[in-house]
Formats: sequence, C-alpha cells, structure tokens
Amino acid sequence: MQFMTEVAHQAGTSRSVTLLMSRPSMDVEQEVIRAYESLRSPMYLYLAALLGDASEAEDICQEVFLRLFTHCSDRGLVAADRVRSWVFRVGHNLAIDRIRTRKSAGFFDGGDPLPVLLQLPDLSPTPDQAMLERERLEAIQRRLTYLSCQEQHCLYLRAEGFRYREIAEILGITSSSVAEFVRRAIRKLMRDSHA
Amino acid sequence: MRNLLKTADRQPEWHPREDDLLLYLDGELPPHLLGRIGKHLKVCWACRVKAEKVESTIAAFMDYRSRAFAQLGEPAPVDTFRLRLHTLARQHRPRHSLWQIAMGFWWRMCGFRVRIPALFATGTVTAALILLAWWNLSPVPVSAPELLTEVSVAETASANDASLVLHRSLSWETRRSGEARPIERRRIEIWHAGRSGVTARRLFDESGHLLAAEWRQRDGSALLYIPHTHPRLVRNTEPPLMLLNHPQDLWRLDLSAASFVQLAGDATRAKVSRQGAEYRLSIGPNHPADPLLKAVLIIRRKGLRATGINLRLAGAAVSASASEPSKPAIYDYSIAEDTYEQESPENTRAQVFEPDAELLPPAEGQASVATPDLQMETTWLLDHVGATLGGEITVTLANDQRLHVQGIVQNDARKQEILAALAPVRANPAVQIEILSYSQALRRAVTTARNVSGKAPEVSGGNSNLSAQADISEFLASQLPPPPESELRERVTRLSAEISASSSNAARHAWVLKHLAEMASSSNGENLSAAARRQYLSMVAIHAREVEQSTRRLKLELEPIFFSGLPPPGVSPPPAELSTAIDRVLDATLRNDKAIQSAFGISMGVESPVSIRTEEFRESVLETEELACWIEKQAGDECVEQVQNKKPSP
Repeated sequence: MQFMTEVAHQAGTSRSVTLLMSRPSMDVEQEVIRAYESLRSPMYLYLAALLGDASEAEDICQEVFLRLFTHCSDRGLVAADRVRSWVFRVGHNLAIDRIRTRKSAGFFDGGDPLPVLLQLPDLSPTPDQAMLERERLEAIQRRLTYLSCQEQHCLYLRAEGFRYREIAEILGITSSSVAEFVRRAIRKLMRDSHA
Repeated sequence: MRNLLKTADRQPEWHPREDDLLLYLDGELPPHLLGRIGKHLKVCWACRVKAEKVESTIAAFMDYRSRAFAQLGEPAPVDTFRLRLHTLARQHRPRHSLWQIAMGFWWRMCGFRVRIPALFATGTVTAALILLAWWNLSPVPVSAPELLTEVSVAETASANDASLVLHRSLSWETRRSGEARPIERRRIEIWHAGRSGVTARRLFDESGHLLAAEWRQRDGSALLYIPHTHPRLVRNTEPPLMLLNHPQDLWRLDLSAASFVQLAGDATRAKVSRQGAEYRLSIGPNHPADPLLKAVLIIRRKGLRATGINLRLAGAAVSASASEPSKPAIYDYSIAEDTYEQESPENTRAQVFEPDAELLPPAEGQASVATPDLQMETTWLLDHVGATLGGEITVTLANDQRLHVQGIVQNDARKQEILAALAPVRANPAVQIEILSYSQALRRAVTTARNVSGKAPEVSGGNSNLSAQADISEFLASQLPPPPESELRERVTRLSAEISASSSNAARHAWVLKHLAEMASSSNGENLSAAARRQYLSMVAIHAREVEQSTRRLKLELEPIFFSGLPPPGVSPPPAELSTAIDRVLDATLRNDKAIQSAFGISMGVESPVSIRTEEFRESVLETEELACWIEKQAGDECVEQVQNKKPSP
C-alpha cells in the first residue's frame, strides 16, 4: 500500500515528497530516500543551529530519517503533509537529548549563541562596507544571545517556513505560546536594529 | 451622513496592538481582523512604519541566518545515508496483519502502479480475501513458549521505544473462592515512558480516589506511595513470585508475558487453548506448597498482546484478575521533557511520571548548599518571565546555605508561570521556593492579623502642586491649531501618565540592575562560572537597554515643554567600571523619578528638592541615558567576547 500525496511545502522548496506506507519495504526505502533528499538540507541546518556542531547535526539528520523508515515500516503511514513536521519534531527531540547528554548545554544554558555564526565572510567590496556589514551582523548575533531557548527555537522554525500550529506541534507547546515566543523574539531583535 | 460614518474607520483613534500587527504580518490572524488591519495600514502611516520595522527586523535576521548557514555547506551526499538505510532495511522485518497485506495488494492493483481493469482487480481481491479468510480461520498449532516469546519480544520492543509513551488502563477485580461477585473493583492506570524507562502505576477505587501509586525506574527500583503514609523506597522491585505473598500488593504485577513466565517458572508446562479471538495460557501450582493455585494469561490473537491475567491464590483464598478492555494508547514522545513542563495543557503527560515533589526523598548526590552560580541561574530563569521587575520575586542566598526564592504574585496563573520557569532548579534541595498568590497571601494574613497589632500606614496629604500639568496644558494650548477644551484636558492627563510611566519603568529596571550587581559582587561573586557570568552580563545588558529606552522616551516627552530655553548640556565623565555605572544609574533614575512624581503629584507625599524645569534635572536625565547606554554596550561586548573565547574559530 502506498499513499502518494504532495507535501505542502514551505517557501523555497517546491519539490514534492511522496510518503509512505509499509509494503513492500523496498518502496518505503525509496520513499524515505526521496524524503531525505528533499528535507535533509533544511533539517541539517536547523540541527546545526541547535547543536552548534555540523558533524553532530549530520549524524542526527540521518538518524531521523532512519527512524522515519522504522516508523513507516512498523506503524504504517505518516500522512504526507505531516512528514516535514514529523521529521523536525523527531530531529528537535534528538538534538535536545544530545545536548542534555553532553552537558555543555549550547544555548540552552542561556549563554551561548550559535558558534558557527561568528565566522562570517567579508563580502562587501570596500573595507568600510565590510566593517559596517559585520557590525550589523554582530549586533543581531549579540541580540540573539538575549533570546531564551524557546524563543530561538520558534524563531528558527518560523524562518524554516513553519506555521505557528506546526511549530507548536514540533515543540509540544500551544500555538498561543508560539505566538508569544515569536513576538518576544522579534521585539528583542528590534530593540537592537532600531536603536 | 453615511460617508461620515464610513470615514470613522479612518480616524486614527484605533490602532492595532503590536501583537496583532505581527500576527497580521505572519498571516496568523483570523480573517475578520485581517481585513480590518489591512485597511487600517493603508491609512495609518504610524502603523505602517511599525509594520515595516518588524519586516526589516525579520529581513535582517533572515540575512544573518542565510549567511551563517552558507558557512556550513551542504550535508553529506545521499550515498552514505542510502547505505545506512539499506543495511537497516535488510535487518528490519516489519510486522503486518493479513488485513494490511490484503489492502496493500488491492491498493496496488487498483491504481497507483499497475493499471489493471477494475473488474479484474476486484475479482482478484475477492479471491484473495476468501483465501485469507480461510488462512486466518484455520487452526494454527502454536506452543506456549513460542507464544510467550513472541509476545514478550513485542512488549520489550514497545517498552524500549524511546519515541513512545504507553498508557494502559486496567480493571482489577478480587473475588472470594467460589463466589461470582467481586469483593472489590479497582482501576489501574499505567504510564510508561520509553525514553526514561519510568513506569508510573496508580491504583484507584471505583469512585476514582487514589489508593496507591508506584513509580518504577528502569533499574527496577521503585517508590511506593500510599496516601497518608510516608513513601517507601524499594531498591529492587519484588519479583512477581514475592508479590504472591502479599495479595494487597498484587496490583503492582505487570500484565505481561514476562511476568507470567516468572510466575510459571517453566513456560513449557503452560497449556494453550484458543477461545475466539484469544489464546489462553494456563498453569497450575509448581509444587504442593505453591501459593499460586492457577494462573491464566489471556493473549489477544490480533496483535499478540496480553490483555488479561487471572490468579487464584491458596493462602488468601481469593482470585484476582486484571483485564484490559481497550488497546493501550500510544503517544509519540514528541515533546522534550522540560518544554512541556512550561505549558499547562501538555503538562499531563509529564506529571503522570512525576511523583509529587514533597513525597520524594532528596536526590542523591545533589548538594544542598546553594552556590552563586545557582543564584544567578535562578535569577536568569526568573528574568525570562519578567519576575525580577519591581521586586516581584526575591532571590536571596541566606545564612542557612540555601537559596530562598520568595514573593507574592498577582494570581495563581502567574504563580504557575513562575513555577514553570523555575522547573530546572525546583528539584534542587538547596532551593527553597515560597511563592504565594495574592489570595493565598491574604488568607495567610487574615489568620495572623488577629495576633498582630499593626499601625495603619499614614498617607500624607497629596501634593497639590500640579503646576507641571499646567505647563503641559499651556504648551499644548500654544500649539496650532489649539485643541478644544475637553480634548486638551484628556491629552494633558494622557501625557502626564506617559511621562510618569516612562520614569517608573526606568526606575524598576534600574533596581533590577542594582540587584544583579549586588549579586555578582557579593562575597562569592568572583567565583561565578563562565556560563553564569554570561547570564549575568546578558541580563545587565537587557535591563540597561530598558533603562536607556525609558529615559530617552522621558527626555523626548519633557524636552519641548520643560527644557526649552535651558543652555546646552555639558559632558559628564565616563564611568570607570560596570558596578560604579550601575550605582550612578540607580541614583540618577531614582532622583529623576522622585522629581517626576513630585511635579505631577502622582505619588502622595513625595517631595523632591529638584524641580523638573531646572538644568540640574535635565543633566540628570541625560546622564542616566548615557550611563545606561554605556552599561549595555560594556555588558554586551563582554558577553560576546566570552562567547568568542569559549569557541575558538577553527
């Protein structure tokens, strides 16, 4: 049995992901590979932002899709329009587990921004412009450190194109909390950019 | 007239709230508000500017995010994943019912892959169904060990699946030998979290009252609780055989194939019979002195899961039976444990695994001595929910080496919000939390009031000097065109209230700054860890920013009315260090606030030596703004510096 439906997609991704059912397993395998091809990049980047470690993000990203395979083989389909949020939800939980395990709690202890973001290239043609650009980016980065972990999660998931109710499902909170976290996050970022 | 009514919508009295504006931009508003705000934005420049600010903030963040992500590059090629997946697929044998196989076949025939005429497809499916029905109904010889092994494997797999939470609801009955009517009926609710391995089991009577509860860890140790008694910690759960000697504890027996095997001792001697949709495995006593006369395990054929167990005991002359009327509920473990503690609707799943805090013995290995780091962490958590403002909650490192978190809050919802924010430190024995809602505090006060002879606070006569308002009134009246009398009064009141609010807000945040500085510079302040130091700095930066913004707003509101005609301001010397600057900010903010409250007669009995029309006051306001700006920059820079030092670039 196989259900083929187009995944409702977020901005920037127009490919469809076809999922999923159980028999024969080869079909599920193919569907999971297609889902992986389509979603691995946003998933990987989100996890990297969460963990601050590209190799760990890569590892968890693959783990998520292996779980998708096991889930579909054992328990049947994941409705196609929910695959994306399923994948992000499981990825998010695995990343949180990993952070708890390693104890050096990334930005969850409230102090640590995204480490990868400090290596920004100078793209502007003149040194003055480059400096201004860097200052602007650093200002946002500094402001991001003021955001609580929930606010950061909501912000990054919203940036991925998720609606509030999908973010709520991924983080396991209510839609109104998501709205509140996004509002607080934007407000904190605004303070800096419009000082 | 009709046109006039229509244009009423275009009047600038109504503006969407900031929250609604963001929801509007995010496309999350209900349709009826969507149109209204859309229309309003067309006519209101002020709101349009606000909306554009939000948009440009989002654009700036997205730009930052895309640049940072560009540094990460692409994930590994699909081939690596394909290999891992293929290996997993070869090892993995999915379990399917015959019905699923038949439906899959039909689905495939009818359309998606192979195009076959519908009549032929239906004929084939009918033939297949007849075949499957015969196969399904024919007797299948099965042995007890095979059956028990299969059920046991399925049970272990679902119990160890970290992504699942299982919920079972069992009915439990006890009968006297030879009597059909049960002497007691109970309900057992079992929750099992695959990730932590914790099983929470609660026994209720017919009215739904809790009779007993057990929280069992993965290692077998368990905490037993019976209401009105002290909880009992059991290092290793008694094996099922031990429970037979305590019939009152039999509710703790697992309804599982594994328990049955332990009761039976030797699974090969169990007899299997098939009754309808069930298998029944029964065993007799192992030896003449065995307290267990008979045990029957009922296994549902579909899905092979244990749905009931009947036990007949010799000593107590009773028989007990557990049965599960409905299939266990399975929940995806979609929520990180600490996140669902923060939201009330999702709390249920977290709470079912957690015994009440006061029932638990202190966690082993956890020191009951509070550290400055813990104090900073707690303050940081409170700051996130705005509980440090206005001294709503105080965090004190007391002489008893404990951290006292105390306060009285507006209502119970606020109390719950603060308690949820404190979740990461609540279990720490060094943290003593006492947060009351107003109503709780009031009840407590009423009970103690009779013993306390208090003196009613004296309220001195109000400051009748409202000349500041007169100045505002004069200023507004001098504007062209002058507003009508009724509107003038309202605008004066509104502006006065705004000035007062800006001033009070600055003072509240300045107090928080002072508390933070005191906390950091206390005797153990130097021992703050890097993480705690970062938390401290970011809190300082946030509150300094609030002071700066409130003071700037205050300055802009006062400038045209009270500061016109004053000579240009001088330059105040820059502060030497953060703590000095914070002291100066607090002094200046309080001085300003006192002058404002005195001038506007808002706080009764407040007299300030400084008039808000003087150069001295203007200097004080400017100094506050500069200092707050300096503090924010210093704290922010140091925070970023620490982060950079922690993560050296590759």
